[in-house]
Amino acid sequence: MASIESTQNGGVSVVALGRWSIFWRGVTRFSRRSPLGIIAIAIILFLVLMAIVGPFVAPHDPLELGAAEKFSNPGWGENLLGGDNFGRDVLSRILHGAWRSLVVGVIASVAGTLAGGILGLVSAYYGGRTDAIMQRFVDILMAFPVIILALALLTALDRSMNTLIVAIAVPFIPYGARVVRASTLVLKETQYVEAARAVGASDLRVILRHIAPGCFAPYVVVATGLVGVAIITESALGFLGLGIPPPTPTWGEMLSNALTNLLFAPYLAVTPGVFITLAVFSFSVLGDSLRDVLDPRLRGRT
Amino acid sequence: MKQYIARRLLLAIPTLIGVSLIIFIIMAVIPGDVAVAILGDAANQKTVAELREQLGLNAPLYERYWNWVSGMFSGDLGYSVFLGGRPIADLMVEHFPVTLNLAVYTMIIAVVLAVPLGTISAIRHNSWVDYALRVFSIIGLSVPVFWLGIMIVLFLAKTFSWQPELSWVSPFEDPWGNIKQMIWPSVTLGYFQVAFIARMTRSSLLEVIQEDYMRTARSKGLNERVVTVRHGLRNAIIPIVTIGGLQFVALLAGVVVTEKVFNLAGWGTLLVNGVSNRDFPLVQTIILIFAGIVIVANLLTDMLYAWLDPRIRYQ
Repeated sequence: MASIESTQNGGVSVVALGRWSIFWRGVTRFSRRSPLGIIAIAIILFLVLMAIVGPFVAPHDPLELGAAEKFSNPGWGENLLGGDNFGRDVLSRILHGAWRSLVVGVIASVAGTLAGGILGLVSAYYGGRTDAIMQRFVDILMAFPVIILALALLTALDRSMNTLIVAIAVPFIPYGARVVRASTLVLKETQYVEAARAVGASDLRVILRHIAPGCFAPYVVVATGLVGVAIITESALGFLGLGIPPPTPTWGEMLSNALTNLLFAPYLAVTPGVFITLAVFSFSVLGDSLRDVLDPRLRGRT
Repeated sequence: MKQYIARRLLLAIPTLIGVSLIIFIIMAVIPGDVAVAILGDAANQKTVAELREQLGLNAPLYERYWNWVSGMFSGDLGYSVFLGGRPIADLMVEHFPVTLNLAVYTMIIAVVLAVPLGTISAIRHNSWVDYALRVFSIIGLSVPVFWLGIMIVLFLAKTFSWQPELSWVSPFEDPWGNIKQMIWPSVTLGYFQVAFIARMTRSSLLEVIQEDYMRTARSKGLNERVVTVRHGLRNAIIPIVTIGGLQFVALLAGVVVTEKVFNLAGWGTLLVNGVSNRDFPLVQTIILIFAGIVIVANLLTDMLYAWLDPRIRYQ
């Protein structure tokens, strides 16, 4: 850890920039520039907490029939969020569903954009025919709406959490590829990359040490925003009955289940939707805020 | 301009071929025997063999690909495995009007509302109208289409005892009935579009408003409306068109879930049923057509783009 040396100098602190101070400076700048981003982070922290602690504090087994009275209304008492059509405790199902949404969302987004990012980096770095071929491939994948390509993959794959992650990650490949390729095209013309090559650094070293770090900021922006898209896609697939098969609790599956008794027990459709919306909102807002803060061209606008 | 269009068209062809190859490969790598997957493990070997023959699974891969693609050109889209072995072409034609109807109404809502709302938001920058519209669009971008749909159904049913029609009402037979039936699915699907395009319009116009030529236009005495529309919006429209074109992709994706919520028998429903039954001839054809629509939409966007902005045309 770099040390933080600060000396008081007539009320003005002179800070030799250590990693932490850079970090804190970033945090302050972020909170000043993007109050909405702070709200988003707070919601994400809450959801993460829910995902980690939820399964342990859930009052009932999410699969236990008769844990609640069938169609019982939410209210103070044993079943805070009521019971569903099988007499399962809704709160417990929401708590057990949280980590699935987040894990599918985060892993699918990171895996898909990372695979795409590597593709984009290599493609832009070597240029020429490699680039042309990879660009065609990216164009082809771009022609599929995310959920449509996921549906195609789910026709071939069996239904489990792992295949769901794959089915959502693959459509994200072109999004990662595009941003990383764009940054790489700029970075590879910079003088420090030229200098690194001149002193005989290998391609791999140039890519890892000099280009990849420069692509990190735009990559994070895209990956964060896509977590929201992944979560919405996962729950949409669950809603269509093509996600993790029931009775495993997921928010999308709970919505799908609620649809069968919509008029009789409307609140069953309300709760999972609120949580899906919160998750999608927080990740897409965080993605936007990160872009505003990290992209110097946008600074001072909107 | 002609050269530009020709180049775009030529680029679209390899993309379409690539798309068909990807779909075909995905369907071809279904683990295990497709015929067994369709019939279930308990099926006897003779039926399995018959189904394999019927689906053309015994032919080598390249031949199967060729049969599929050449069939497309001659209008033979193959046969659904599940829906009584019906020709896929018939199913597509039968389910098409509902999806087209939904898409058209949604586009109308998006175009009519989004650009004016975004413009108002930009002109009244940082006023309460602007804040209200920004909140409106941020909600629209976060609420999942299917959940919004469910909430709308719930609201209508509880307050007006509204019930979704059991089958699609054609606008040519009963225009009012059609609007009553399709307005809510279109609003559901349209909210996201409006939110997205309005936000894009706002930021695009905000950028243009700072330009020198806007000040010039004002100082030579043009009234505010002419300045905003002819000098501002005209220049802001290019990114809006691009995003609008890309939004068509989101629209197709939204169709799938919206149809389920409102119980509409369109392409989305056909696709979802196909996927859950592993009816791969049906799925591969619908998905190819969806991707084809996206490619054509992108092509049209590029052309519109060139038409709007001469700088692109002469590049």
